[in-house]
Amino acid sequence: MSKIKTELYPQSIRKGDAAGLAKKKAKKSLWLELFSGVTGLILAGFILGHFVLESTMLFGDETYGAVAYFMEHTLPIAQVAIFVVTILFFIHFITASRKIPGKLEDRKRMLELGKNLKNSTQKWNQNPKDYTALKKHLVTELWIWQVRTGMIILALGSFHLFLVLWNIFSKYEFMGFIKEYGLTGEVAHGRVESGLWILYLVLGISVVLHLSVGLYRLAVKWFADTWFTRKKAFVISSLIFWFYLLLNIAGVMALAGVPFFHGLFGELFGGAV
Amino acid sequence: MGQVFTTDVLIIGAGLAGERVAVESAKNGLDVTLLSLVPPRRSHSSAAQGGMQASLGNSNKGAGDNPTVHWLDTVKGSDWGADQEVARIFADNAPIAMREMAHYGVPWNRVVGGPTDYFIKGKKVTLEEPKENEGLITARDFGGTAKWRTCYTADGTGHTVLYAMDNLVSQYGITVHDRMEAISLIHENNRCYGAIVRSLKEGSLNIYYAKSTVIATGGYGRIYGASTNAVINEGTGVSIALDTGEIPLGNMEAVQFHPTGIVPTDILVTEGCRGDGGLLLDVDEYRFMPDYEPEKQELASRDVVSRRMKEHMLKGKGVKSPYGDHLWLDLRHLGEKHLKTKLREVYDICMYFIGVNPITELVPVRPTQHYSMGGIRVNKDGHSYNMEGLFSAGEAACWDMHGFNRLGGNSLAETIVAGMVVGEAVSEFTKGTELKISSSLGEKFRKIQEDKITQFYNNEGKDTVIQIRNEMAEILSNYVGIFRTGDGLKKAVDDLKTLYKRAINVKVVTKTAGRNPELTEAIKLPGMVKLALTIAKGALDRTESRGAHTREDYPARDDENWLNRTLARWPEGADEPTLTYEPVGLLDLPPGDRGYGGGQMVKMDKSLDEYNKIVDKLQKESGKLDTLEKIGEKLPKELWKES
Amino acid sequence: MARTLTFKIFRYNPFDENSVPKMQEYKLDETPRLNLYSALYRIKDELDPTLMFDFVCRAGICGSCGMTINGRPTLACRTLTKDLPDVIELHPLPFFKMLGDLSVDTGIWFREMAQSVESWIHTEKEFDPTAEEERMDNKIANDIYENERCIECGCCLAGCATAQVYTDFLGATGLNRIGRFMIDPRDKRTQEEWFELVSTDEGVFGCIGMMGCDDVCPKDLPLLEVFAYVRRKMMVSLTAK
Ligand SMILES: Cc1cc2nc3c(=O)[nH]c(=O)nc-3n(C[C@H](O)[C@H](O)[C@H](O)COP(=O)(O)OP(=O)(O)OC[C@H]3O[C@@H](n4cnc5c(N)ncnc54)[C@H](O)[C@@H]3O)c2cc1C
Ligand code: HEM
Ligand code: HEM
Ligand code: SF4
Ligand code: F3S
Ligand code: FES
Repeated sequence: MSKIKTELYPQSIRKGDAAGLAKKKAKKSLWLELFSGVTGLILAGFILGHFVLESTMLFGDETYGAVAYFMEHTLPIAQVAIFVVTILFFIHFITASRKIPGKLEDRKRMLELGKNLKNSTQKWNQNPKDYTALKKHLVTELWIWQVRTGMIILALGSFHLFLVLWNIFSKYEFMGFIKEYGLTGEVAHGRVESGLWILYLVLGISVVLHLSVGLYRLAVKWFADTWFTRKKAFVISSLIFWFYLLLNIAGVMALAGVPFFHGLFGELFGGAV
Repeated sequence: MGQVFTTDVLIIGAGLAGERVAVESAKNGLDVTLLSLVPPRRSHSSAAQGGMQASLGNSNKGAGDNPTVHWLDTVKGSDWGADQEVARIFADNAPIAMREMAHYGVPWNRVVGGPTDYFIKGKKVTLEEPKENEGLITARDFGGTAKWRTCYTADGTGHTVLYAMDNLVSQYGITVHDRMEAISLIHENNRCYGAIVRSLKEGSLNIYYAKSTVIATGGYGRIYGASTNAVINEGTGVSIALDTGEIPLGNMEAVQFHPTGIVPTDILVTEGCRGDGGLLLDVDEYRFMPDYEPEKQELASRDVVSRRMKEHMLKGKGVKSPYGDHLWLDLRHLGEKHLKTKLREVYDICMYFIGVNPITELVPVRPTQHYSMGGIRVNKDGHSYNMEGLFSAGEAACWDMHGFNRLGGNSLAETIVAGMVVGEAVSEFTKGTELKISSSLGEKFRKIQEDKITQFYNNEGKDTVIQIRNEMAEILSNYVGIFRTGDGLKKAVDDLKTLYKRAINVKVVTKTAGRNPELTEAIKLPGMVKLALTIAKGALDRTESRGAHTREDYPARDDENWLNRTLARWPEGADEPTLTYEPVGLLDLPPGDRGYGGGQMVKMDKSLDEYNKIVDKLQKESGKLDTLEKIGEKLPKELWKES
Repeated sequence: MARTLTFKIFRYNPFDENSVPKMQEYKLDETPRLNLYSALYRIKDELDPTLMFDFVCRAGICGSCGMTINGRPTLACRTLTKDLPDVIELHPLPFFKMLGDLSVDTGIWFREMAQSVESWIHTEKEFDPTAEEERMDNKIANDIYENERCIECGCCLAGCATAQVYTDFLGATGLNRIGRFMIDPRDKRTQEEWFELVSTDEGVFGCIGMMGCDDVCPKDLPLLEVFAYVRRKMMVSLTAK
């Protein structure tokens, strides 16, 4: 049990092809790690910006529309972005999910480790992996939530991406609100109001949790020995989490046309900005 | 039940000494098997924090040091009980051993050139460290030495050296079987062929045949109950040598005590506590040391303070606790700043292990067994007396560079130097020999152990293992501790004799599969009591005071009658050991005053030449086997006069 | 004070066919300054001689006594009962092979780990007994010691969800060992050799960043710092062919 069994160790007794194999294996691991991390980082950056922009709905449909128009027509940012983001989204999904245990049994065990296991009734056999009594460990549990939210994002995010992709490149009417090419405040607003707000709320909260934990992990994994210590990373990612959580809730409310939120700041500043 | 293994060199004990012998043998192309009660890195060597002595002389306060100065300190420290040639071999090789360990990865602390601050006797002193030595191995101060000579890695010297050594063991691919306890040697006609080994995982009895066998099982302080030694230091390795009836143990009465082990866990707190002004108080929080030692008070030498503490407790002035009597160490007046900086280690130990805050609370302490100078008597090659093919090294052995008192930092250094030297001799011996035995020999010895185990289950005795261990510990610490008198020792010997009978008659009640902890302890028990008895008997018969062996009724060191080494054998079936004596070895430095510790002396009438003339002959009569080099080859005459 | 402590101890003897895993209860009066080392010995000596557990140094130096105490993997000898509630639950460390009750087999795993990371100084140089030692900056010596302080207690493995699932993973202690040799100037392994050793899913990229290791390590080793250093060191190989 727990024998470190790989044909590649120890190096000193490795023979023939194994040497080349070892290097290939090592390179592959490094690239995968970089892909999942970098795509995660870029996506996170995108989302942080995305949520700020979405929140312009707090200033009312006009502001929102102006921003959307600027991004689609003045400069074709949205068109480019959606391609890039969609690709990154799937690369990230593929590379990051390699860490999720493939076997159901293993997934369960990971899950248990994150939770309080004392009530576990599993039997002990010679394989002690089947039995533990570990206390709840925060960062481990957060990882499990990262996997869960990742799944949610995968499902809801793809759907959302499909929707907006459709919008950006089509003139078709959708639910009777399309008047021109692309996205407008009304489109967004109307669609969300008509029931998609639940979906957006779930997606939003998931994304915020997923990315703030992800950023925390990323920072610690690569920079814990620099001035950017684990403590600092934790504080910053917590701030990101809480700020964006609130922003997201407010944003969705505004999109959904909840009177208080919709155009909240717009009214404060007297309508349009 | 059990397996049979065959190897060139079987090493019982994987502490520093055992692993160093293993590495040396493996370098010589031999097939080596290491046995240990625990994974080797958990051996007690890892617990030594202070450091190891070697006369590198790189630091400011080490300048002018050389092996001869180191040798002088060692021989004086031993109160002339050491074999001076062995001490010489040790001092000459210690610097090489340190450098070798540096080569193999020990991160020794290094000299940093320029002015450096130190605390010497509580005062801040700035010393200029030599720039030209920047980056060489540095050293710190330890008691009883003329120079700063103790090499160290922060507070983890034993740990880092053991880890580096175990890395070498991995590198050489040496076979390691951990959780294995040797419980008997296999021998016939004064030739050792290996050992019977009990697995502490599943409880099987295994036979290990070997061309040569090495015992490096460390100290056996746990027979005293309270000891700074690890809980596995129970002396089985030494007692299986005694069990052969042939091999003598040397100087078993030489046992070192430390005044301040904390209660209940007996972890050591440094002498620095008292050096910096810590006081000892009794149950009435009364400072008693000035009554006994008006001059030096708390700062008298280790053995004196320990003795007075015990004496005071026997008067009923100890603090009663569920863990036995103890006294108090008062550090409160030193203040928070002092305790959290200069005595931080002490502060941490108190807080972590007993939850006592020394800034506001009294620390419970008592004198505690610390080191065993005695052990399996070997010649300068580490070859045991009377038993060909059996070697020993480290604390388990009486190679005898420590005599009656070892200096701090010398034992850790001994383990690797002895490992080197003995390892060479082992290789030499092993290459020139063959394993010629009938396979029934191992079976015979295994059968004896099997019967013993069955016997434990069938015994009628009413005692439990714990009861006997506690009684043994009590007898030893009351009468064979730091405080020894003829009457007390007599009583101890008598009591231990009856205890021995009870120990072999202990009944093991629980009969579970696997290692069965109760049985494991029962198997060791008679051996432990035997060791206790050899210590008590040796102390009773030695009517003088020398080093750590201090007799109230014979306060003088008697070089006329007692400049010798006690050898204890336990003939088969006997109920106590028989003692004989041999000369300590060739004398080069004539017996004199240690320069500390005080005490009277009875001068030797003989001249050195007269003493030296018959050393070899008498030692051979005592069972010493031939050495690779003649006696005295490694002891250059009167080199010490130059320094 | 004078509490009565309830110990709930995991009992199982894998060598006994009739043994079934269970939690057994023992009651003990709390005495002043009691720690789990003394407490467990008292239970064994006074209540149940069959109880199996491991202590060696009982001073927090040897790493033998790792176990989960109320759900947290840590050293028993360094744990005081006064810091624990009235009910104390003890389990053996998960991850390692079971030997009986609270005792697990760490020896084999750690020896294999040492073999696989080749935990020794790699150098062509022979030791020369007549020469002065090679000089080394004291700061580097201290840095190496900082990593070398690991006592192989196994708590980090017990606290790492990744290690529980991917048994080939070297774990925090294995990665720390690699880091220790990486910063040692005496070790002449090349960047490429390090790369092949550590840039793998058994190595540093197997670590997901659960940080349990860092939270439980009783020696407060800078584990996460070591991983970050090692990770970045691997980037160098990206440009190399
Ligand atoms: C608290 C403390 C601090 C110390 N500090 C210092 C210091 O600063 N400087 C210094 O020089 N010295 C110091 N010493 C002394 C020094 O640590 C020891 O003398 C030295 O480590 C002994 O090493 P060893 O290799 O002989 O034995 P150990 O390291 O004790 O190894 C014994 C080995 O034998 C094995 N073993 C035992 N019995 C059996 C058996 N029956 N079968 C199989 N295997 C067995 C054990 O598992 C272990 O592997 C200190 C001692 C103590 C107690
Ligand atoms: C370039 C790609 C993207 C574009 C153009 C885009 C566009 C939009 C638009 C127009 C809305 C308003 C609601 C609507 O019209 O339905 C919106 C809301 C939202 N989008 Fe995106 N989106 C993109 C990518 C993503 C991704 C990858 C995610 C996360 C996986 C995401 C998560 C959300 C959420 C949670 C909302 C709700 C509003 C809020 O929380 O403030 N979007 N997006
Ligand atoms: C907008 C969408 C997403 C964003 C912003 C995002 C962001 C991140 C970030 C920053 C990390 C940390 C990377 C690291 O530690 O190396 C991460 C990790 C992870 N993500 Fe995502 N992610 C997104 C979508 C997804 C999806 C769809 C999945 C699919 C299941 C997913 C699964 C994971 C997993 C499993 C990890 C952990 C990987 C690891 O620790 O190595 N993520 N994510
Ligand atoms: S890294 Fe820490 S927790 Fe892990 S084995 Fe070493 S000391 Fe124990
Ligand atoms: S808990 Fe495990 S996943 Fe990494 S950060 Fe520590 S090794
Ligand atoms: S017994 Fe050694 S660390 Fe606890």
